[in-house]
Amino acid sequence: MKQATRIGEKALLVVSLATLALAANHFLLHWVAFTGALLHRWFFGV
Amino acid sequence: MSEPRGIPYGRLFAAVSLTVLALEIAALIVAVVRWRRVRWQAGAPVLSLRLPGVAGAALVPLIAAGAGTIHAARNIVMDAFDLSRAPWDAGHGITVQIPAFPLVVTAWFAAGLLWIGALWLTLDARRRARGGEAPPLAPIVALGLLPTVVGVWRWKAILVGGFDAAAGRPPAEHNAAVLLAADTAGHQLATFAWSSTWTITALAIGALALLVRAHRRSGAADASSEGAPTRRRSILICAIALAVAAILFVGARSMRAENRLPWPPNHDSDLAWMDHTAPDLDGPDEIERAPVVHVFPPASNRPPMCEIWLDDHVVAPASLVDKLWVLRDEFRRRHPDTKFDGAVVAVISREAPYAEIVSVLRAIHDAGFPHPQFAFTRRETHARPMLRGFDPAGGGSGALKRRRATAVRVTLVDDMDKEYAEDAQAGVRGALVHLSEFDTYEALARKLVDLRRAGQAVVLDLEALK
Repeated sequence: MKQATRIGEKALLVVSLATLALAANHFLLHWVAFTGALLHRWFFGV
Repeated sequence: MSEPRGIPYGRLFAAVSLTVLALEIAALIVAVVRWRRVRWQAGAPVLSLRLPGVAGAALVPLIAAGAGTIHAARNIVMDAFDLSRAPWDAGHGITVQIPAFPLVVTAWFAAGLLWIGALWLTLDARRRARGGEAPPLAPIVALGLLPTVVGVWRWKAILVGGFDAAAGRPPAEHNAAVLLAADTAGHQLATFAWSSTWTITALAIGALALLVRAHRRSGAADASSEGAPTRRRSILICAIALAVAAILFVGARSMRAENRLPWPPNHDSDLAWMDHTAPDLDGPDEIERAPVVHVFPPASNRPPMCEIWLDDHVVAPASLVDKLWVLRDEFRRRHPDTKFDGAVVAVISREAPYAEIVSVLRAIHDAGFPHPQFAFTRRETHARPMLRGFDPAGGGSGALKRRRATAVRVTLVDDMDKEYAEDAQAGVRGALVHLSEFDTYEALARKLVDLRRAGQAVVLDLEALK
């Protein structure tokens, strides 16, 4: 039982860090790509 | 495109990133040396986590400096969009982000990996000195961000190439070329990010598989070797990681909405000066540069019954033919080897008297300009999730608005043309439209737009009004 709990804790750490990496990846994509939207906005006219 | 100078806080970011990277490298070297010493020397002391701790804390100013640099550049852009500063500052604020992004992202990624390496080796050295389980393999998922980092460099290269290719081209072509490069760069970046998503997932699955295998091998003996503080620490790390992930997902939401909503086609904003009293129609033809004839309603009830401008200069209706003749002769004198195309841009107000418009068209024809482009201005409103229009009341909550200038091209013919060509359409192919069929310019304009939208060339007969 204790071993299963320990594996569960370690698995949770893997899943948590993977979720963080996926979120960072998602944020980076839209953060950088947003520059393209700014370009469209710029050429649209002020 | 030359590398734009003046990245906001660029020097501060360079100093912080170089300092932090040097610290992370030093921490990794020390960790490697200590790890090797513990590995080969029995009874070595348990290592302190102070240095990896300091190196980890140093990531905070590095992340802040990078994010601050981009945020400052974006503030310049948003201020320019709100007209709180000069409109051209928007261009500066955008172009400085392009070379800054790869540097920021690479510095973050490199420093993060170096820190993870140093921390893992120190934890492993501590485990070797005092026993216990091997450090978790979970941080290996960070490697999965490598494709996105490469993608950001590729994104920059495509955008810089787009700016270089567009340099020196006319405004309409320049903007379209740059926007095409921006869209291409965005799609490429999305492909790299998609690759990162799967790499992270694969690394996580691999780490879980190794975890299960390690526990099967070690059996139940090690099951209780870790104490409660270690478990609490592990759960705390999980909670922090999930909280930061949630913040990042929420933080990206509005940018994602903006990135996913397509933009209307670009058009030559230089033509936005077009008179806004021209019919509110969407012509199928782009306006080509040519002399511009404006026709306005009369300023009073006394003659002349319309006001005419030629290239922004007021001309008397009776002298329009002569002025256009002069323009045509001037073109032929300056460009003896170029065929004169006889094009003119006719920007005619909805309110101008129809009979006066017919007179102006006859003058245009008689001066040797048989190919007028009837210009229209259509008001467009676009609601955007985040990038909204200037709101005079403040707050920038308005939808984006612009006037789009388009045209229909026609060929003018009169009775002499028909007689000379011995043809009812003066030898010109296309749908024949008689000026006398209409009472208002707006009705005529709608008919011309319908025909051109149906893909037909239009021949406009200048016969006398009924």
